[in-house]
Amino acid sequence: MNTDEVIWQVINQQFCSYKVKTATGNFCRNEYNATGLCNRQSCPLANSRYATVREQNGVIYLFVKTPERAHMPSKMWEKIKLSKNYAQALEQIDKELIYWPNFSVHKCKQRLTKITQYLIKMRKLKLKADERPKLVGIKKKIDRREARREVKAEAAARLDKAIEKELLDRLKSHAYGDAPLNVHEDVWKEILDGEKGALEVDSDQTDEDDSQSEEEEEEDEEEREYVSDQSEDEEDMEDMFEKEYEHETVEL
Amino acid sequence: MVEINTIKNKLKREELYQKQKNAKAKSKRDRRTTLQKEESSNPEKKEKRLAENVPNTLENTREFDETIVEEDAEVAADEATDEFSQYFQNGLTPKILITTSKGPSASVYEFATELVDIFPNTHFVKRKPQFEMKHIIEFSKNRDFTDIMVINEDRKEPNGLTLIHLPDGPTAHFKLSSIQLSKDIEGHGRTSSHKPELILNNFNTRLGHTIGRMFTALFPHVPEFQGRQVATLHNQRDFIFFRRHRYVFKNAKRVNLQELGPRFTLKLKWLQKGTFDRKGEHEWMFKPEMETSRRRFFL
Repeated sequence: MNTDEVIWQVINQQFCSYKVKTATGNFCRNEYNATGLCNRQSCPLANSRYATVREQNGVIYLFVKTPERAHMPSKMWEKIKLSKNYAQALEQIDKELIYWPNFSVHKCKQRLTKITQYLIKMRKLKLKADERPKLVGIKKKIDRREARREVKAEAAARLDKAIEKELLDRLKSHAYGDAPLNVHEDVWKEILDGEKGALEVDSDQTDEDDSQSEEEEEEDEEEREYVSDQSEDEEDMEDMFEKEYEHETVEL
Repeated sequence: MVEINTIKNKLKREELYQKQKNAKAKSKRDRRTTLQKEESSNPEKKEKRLAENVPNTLENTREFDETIVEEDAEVAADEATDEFSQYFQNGLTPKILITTSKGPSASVYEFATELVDIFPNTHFVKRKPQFEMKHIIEFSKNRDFTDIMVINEDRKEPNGLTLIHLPDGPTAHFKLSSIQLSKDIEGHGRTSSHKPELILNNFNTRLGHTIGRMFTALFPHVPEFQGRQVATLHNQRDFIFFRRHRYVFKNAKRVNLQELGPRFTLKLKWLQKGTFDRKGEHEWMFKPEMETSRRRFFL
């Protein structure tokens, strides 16, 4: 007990590395401190008989220090595992710290209460963790890099040209059908003519019976013209007659 | 010739440097004009020159990727029986639900309105704080929705888009960037209710195919061509650029485009096989250590 007073005088008046002085008061950063304040009663260094309650990995222990073990620093604290049941743990503290001053017992019980409460809260939060938004850190370097690369990719993409090319390819490959709704007639004719021209050019370039093929084509065209005029008239007339007939049947 | 950097007099040094610079520019100009004259009379020369001097681009020198698909029967068979077969083979019309993260801000609502305009048959639903993702997915399945889009927000701006294809479809999460709403685009056109045409460019790998099909399944099957509206999703170096245009064929060689609707860029962050499950495993997840090479792309 003598040494305790000496230790306290040195710690309090000269230097203690665990002491934190603030405007409101002095705090003790020592992990074994039962109250967290820097007092004669609460200092774990200046009391050879001392007790605290601490938790490690969610398990609560009672740490007890006695003057008998003061000479063995590595075995100074006796670690007693407390019951998971709060009431039983309180009784355990009473039992272990029987005949100790009320101050120590009371502070240990207070710590036990607080620790059990915050552990319960932590467990509840973990269960609801799925429903909370998951926070993802902002990685500045990566964001900067991606922003830069996006700009370059957009330049490389040449979107307008790509879209125009794709649309023209679709038009020319007849993907819109033979009488497309999204083109002006003149433009569509131009394209069809272009195709015919390409076909003719191809056939011209083949070296088999050039003259004959030309004559055949000319004949075909003439024949085609003749046939198409006649058939169109006939079809129109038939359609007209058919429609009139249909009207009559409906009225009946 | 005197080395310019040995002249100590600044004025003289600058003068000589300017002369040297001008001489260089002049010689380049002359070379180019003569080349232009020759090539205007002889287009074959130009083609030859271009064919010989093909520049190396990141796309040309892309790292070999074994997952690039090229007319593969196995891939076609897989795609015939994947989660999108309902859309592609049975002709199911898409019905999309758009919602946001909890507690959104005004810009998110604006973006959501634009999205509702882009995809036909879409419904926007305000996010209620008591419903989690799993509840939303359950409710949407009950009401026969085919897709859910969740707009995620950070610091008052939309920054992410999660696309969940419904009956057990894949879930994809994208980073949203460079959003420009239609009102902020100069000379933008007005949209009509015609069903748009779809253009999907450069979705080459297996992963790209999945994402491409996911996007296709958002739009109705048969576009109304008389509306002349086209929506484009163009993949370049893993960035998917979305654009919407109204087009007009001016002649057989040129198309005029008027931009409608919003522009935005998407970058795939992860893909999950089933519907959204926070603890589930990811089929593909982006990690910064993957992009060690500038020539390596995943889509």
